[in-house]
Amino acid sequence: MLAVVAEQDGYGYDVLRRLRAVGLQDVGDASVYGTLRRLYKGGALTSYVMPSDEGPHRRYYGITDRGREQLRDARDTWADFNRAFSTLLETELEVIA
Amino acid sequence: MNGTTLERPDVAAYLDAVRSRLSDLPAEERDDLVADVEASLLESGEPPKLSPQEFATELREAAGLAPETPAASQPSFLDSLRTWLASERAASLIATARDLAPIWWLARAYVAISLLAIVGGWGWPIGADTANPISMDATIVSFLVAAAVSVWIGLRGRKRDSHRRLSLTLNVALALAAVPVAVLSLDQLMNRTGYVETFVYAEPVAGLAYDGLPVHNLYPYTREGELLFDVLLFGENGAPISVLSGPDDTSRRVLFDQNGTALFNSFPIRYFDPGTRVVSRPALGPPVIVPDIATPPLVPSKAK
Repeated sequence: MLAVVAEQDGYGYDVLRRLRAVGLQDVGDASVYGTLRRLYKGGALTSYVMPSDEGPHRRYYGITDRGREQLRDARDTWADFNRAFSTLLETELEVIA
Repeated sequence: MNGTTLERPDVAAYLDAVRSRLSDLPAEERDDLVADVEASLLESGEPPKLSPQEFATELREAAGLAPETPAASQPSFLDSLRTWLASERAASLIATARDLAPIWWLARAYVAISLLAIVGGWGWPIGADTANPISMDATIVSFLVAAAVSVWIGLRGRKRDSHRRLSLTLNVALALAAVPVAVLSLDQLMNRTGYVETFVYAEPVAGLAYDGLPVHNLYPYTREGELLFDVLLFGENGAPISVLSGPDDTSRRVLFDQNGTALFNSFPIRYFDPGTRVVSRPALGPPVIVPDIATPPLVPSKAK
C-alpha cells in the first residue's frame, strides 16, 4: 500500500485498482480502505480532499517521511526475507537434483 | 458508474447498514471510514461482494480498530431494516416502486386536491357541499392542475433530493389521508347516483302530478263520505285544472258546456262501458277511508 501511494498519491478506489493491476486480484475493498485509514492515523500517510465532477469528494492519500521510512524498512525486510528463501529453495533444488 | 448515493439508493442503504455496524466508533472516525467507502462504491459501480456486516468487520480489522462491541453486534430493528434494504431483493423492489411512482403521483394529486376542497368547504366533487350544482369542470380542472404539480414535484425529486424528509412526510400523510378520501368519494358517488334518479322522477310531467308522479284521476268526497260527480276544478288563478284526453281516448265521458266546448277539468273522470255511451258503475273508485270530521262544517253566507 505504501509502495503504491509512494509512486503517486491516490484515493481509496484508485489504490485498490492499482493493487489489482499488479496482480493482487483478491485484495478486498474493505481491507484497502481500512489499511489506508490505519496508515493515515499512524502518520505514514497524509490526506487531502479533492472535489470530483463525477461524484462525491475524493480523499487522496500521499506518503509522509515516516511512511517512506516504513516503506524502506519493509523493503529491506522483504529483501532479506526473499534472499533467505531464495537461498533455501536453491539449496533444496540442488539436493533434489 | 458515478453520481451520488441519492441516485443509487442501493448504495445508500448499504452504507447505512455498514455505518450501523460501526455505531460504537466516534462519529468522526466512522464518517471518515464510510466517506472513503461511499466514493469507491459509487465509482466502481459494482455491488459489494460482502454483506454490510462482513464488510464492516473487515474494515475494522484492517483499520486496526477494536472488534464490534456486543451492543453494536446485536442488530436493532433499524439495523435489520438497513441490512434488508441493502439486499438485492430490496433493490429490485425499490426499482419497481420507482417505475410505478407516477401512478402514486396521480393518486396523491387526487387525495391532495380533494382534501383541500373538503377542508375549504367546497365539497368533493367541487360544489357537492354547497347550494351550487356540482361543477365537474371545476373538479376536473383542479385535479389536472394538482396532477401536473405532483408530477413536477416527483420528477424534480428524482433529480434533487434536498427535501427528502419533507417529501417523505408529505407522502405518508397523503397516503394516510387516502383512506378517508376514498370513503368520502364512494359516499359522494352513491349520493350522486341517488340525486340523478330523483332528478329523473322530478322532471315536470304533463297534466296533474303529485310528488312528481302523474295523477290520472281525482275522486272528491264530501265530509260524510259521499263521492261527488262532475266536480269542476280550478286553480288559484281561475284556470281550469284539466287532464286532457288523447286523440284515441273516445271512451272517456267528457262534459260539454252550452257552446259545445269540452270541459276536461271535471272529476272523477268516468269512462263508458265498451261499445256503449253508458257508465254502468259511476261510483267506482279507489278504496278510501273518509275519517269522521270533528270540525264544524262551513256555512256559506247568503248573498244579499
